[in-house]
Amino acid sequence: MKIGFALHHNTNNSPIHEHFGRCPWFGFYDSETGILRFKENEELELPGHAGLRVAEMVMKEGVELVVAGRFGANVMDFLEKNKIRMVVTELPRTLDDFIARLKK
Amino acid sequence: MTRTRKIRSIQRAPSYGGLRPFGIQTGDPVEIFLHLEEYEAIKLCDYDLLTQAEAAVVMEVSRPTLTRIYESARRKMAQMLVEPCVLHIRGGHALARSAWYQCKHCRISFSSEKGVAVCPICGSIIETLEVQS
Repeated sequence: MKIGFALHHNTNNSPIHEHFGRCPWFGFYDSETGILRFKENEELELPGHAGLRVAEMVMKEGVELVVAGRFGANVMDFLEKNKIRMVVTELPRTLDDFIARLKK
Repeated sequence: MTRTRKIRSIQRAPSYGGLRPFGIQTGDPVEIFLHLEEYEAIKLCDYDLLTQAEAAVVMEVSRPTLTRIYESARRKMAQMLVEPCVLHIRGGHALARSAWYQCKHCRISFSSEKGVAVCPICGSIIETLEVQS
């Protein structure tokens, strides 16, 4: 399963970002191969509606699950329509923490 | 007989129950109840920066109705700031569009199709639906 993470930095110990679409970095993790890849968020400069373009970009990466602090309304609709599940963290968490918790 | 009120569609309830002011002298502050659809209207218009017309589509109500909900929400927020009051976010006439579940082990919430509730992170099965109102 491929998982997308909204991140603050492009490092393994980066905290999960509070807002999907406004995060400077994304992490894409493949739980089968264990490969982790970072990608910069190019839509960050847009004043509004950045979320949808980011969501399209994330979908093209082929993820089944996205992790962030929260999601915007349009993004939720879009992800739901495309059968991508969302995870919202309740506490400040790091990327490492999530990967360690993933079921083997 | 009055017309039945249309259900306002919201994405999900906030993960906290309300707000409490600090530093006030009175021990018995006024309580304000911000409805879930009012919370959603504020979130859509002022946080997600949608126009009121766009927010109305998202909440599946007419544009004038959205404006009324938003207006009421703003008045409650203003009252809360000025008086100051304890704010509870609950009630109203809203229904969450998708099912959200909580995993107690991972301390996360996740969206899922109704009826399927397996935590995507640790794989444990979730029995209770997250409370939405």
